[in-house]
Amino acid sequence: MNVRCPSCQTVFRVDPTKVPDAGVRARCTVCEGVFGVYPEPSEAPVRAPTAAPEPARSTPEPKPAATIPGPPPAPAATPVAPWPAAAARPVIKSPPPVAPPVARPSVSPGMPAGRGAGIAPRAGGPKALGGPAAAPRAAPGAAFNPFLSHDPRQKARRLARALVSDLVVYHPEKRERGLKEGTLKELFDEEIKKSWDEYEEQVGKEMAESTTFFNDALNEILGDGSSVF
Amino acid sequence: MSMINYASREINCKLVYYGPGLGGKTTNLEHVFSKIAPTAKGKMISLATETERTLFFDFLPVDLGTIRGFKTRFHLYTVPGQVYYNASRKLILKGVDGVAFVADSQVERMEANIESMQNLYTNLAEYGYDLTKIPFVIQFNKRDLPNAAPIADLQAAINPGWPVEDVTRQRLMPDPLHEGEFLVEQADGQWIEHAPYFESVATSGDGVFDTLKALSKLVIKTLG
Repeated sequence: MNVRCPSCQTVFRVDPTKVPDAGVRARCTVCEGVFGVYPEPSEAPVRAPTAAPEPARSTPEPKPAATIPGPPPAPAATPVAPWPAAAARPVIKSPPPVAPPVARPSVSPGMPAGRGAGIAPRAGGPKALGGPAAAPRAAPGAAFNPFLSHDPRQKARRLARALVSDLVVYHPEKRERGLKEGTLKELFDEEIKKSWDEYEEQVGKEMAESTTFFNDALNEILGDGSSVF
Repeated sequence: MSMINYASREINCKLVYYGPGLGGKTTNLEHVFSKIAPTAKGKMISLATETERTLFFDFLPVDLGTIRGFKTRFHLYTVPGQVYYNASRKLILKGVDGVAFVADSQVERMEANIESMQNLYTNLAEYGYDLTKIPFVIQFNKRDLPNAAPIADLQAAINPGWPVEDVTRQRLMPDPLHEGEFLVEQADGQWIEHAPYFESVATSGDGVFDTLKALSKLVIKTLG
């Protein structure tokens, strides 16, 4: 039988005789998502988060390990544990609820487009742990929760200021000396370079170079309002 | 995600202390370490720079007794707070069961708090986790300092809340720790849930265990 990972849609071939009636949990080797595999015809049903895992977690019986799905073709799904519990596998992950069947949003570093994503379909109980987030849409909370919205310029400006603010709190004496002797630029040369690299990596080269956020933050926060940078 | 070892009947949960640099994450762990009985804790491991700033993480295992015959052990981690150590921070978040955000109450660190919170949302989202759905508490640290911002300002900036989609939970829920405040409330026709918050002075230990207890309770709840 074929089983589709609900989060990344990768299809795996699983020996149906290895799937117990109660189902089995498998970990997708592509996206690491954990999902339930059930006997046909309800092939790889998508379970609501926390729907099934809960009882399994609350009554962990050390049942003998049921057989686990045979080695599927690459990319292979690594079986995690038979559905209620497994004794043979010493360490298994607790069942994270399976997320709705949407592709995992690709979120580039520093571009938190998928941030509010998981909010969209809340299929199961509260406090669902893990599971790939839903597709990034306009997050309903974005209006009042700035962490769920996304404004690249605002993010760049804040990141620059936070990076420079770190320099101040981590090196108070050096800054004092630099301000007094007018050697801020030389003293902080290495730290500023490191911070800039991180800044550029997170906001992107174009944003970093086309705006003065980083320099403004250096002058205002590190330089105490002077324009040394 | 919590690791359940059926052979040795152990549940291991991972709690991560997150927040801006020099906010008091390591101090939280040090206080926990100093107060827990030697039999209930493991060795605290700190990877720090020569100036004692967390370079990679601190790690402290704490035993919290037994649940249905399973020994429960919490692994407490901190992350490096400095913005440019993001790679380490993100790595440490992998497999997290609960997050305590340690905010620095000082007015000067407001932007660092916000940036760190944003970074937390982003890093979790990149793992496919959703901060609004995992056990999460906020600690406003350094309340003893004269330049500490008012709680209302910190709440508005760092804990704005997220929408409550579940209709059964769309009702006023008072904050048991702060009279007259609500964890779930309505604003502009929208039901909003805030993370529970705690005030602390980690250097003296005030509020440290309140935070840890609240977070570990939330995590245990998710275990069913």
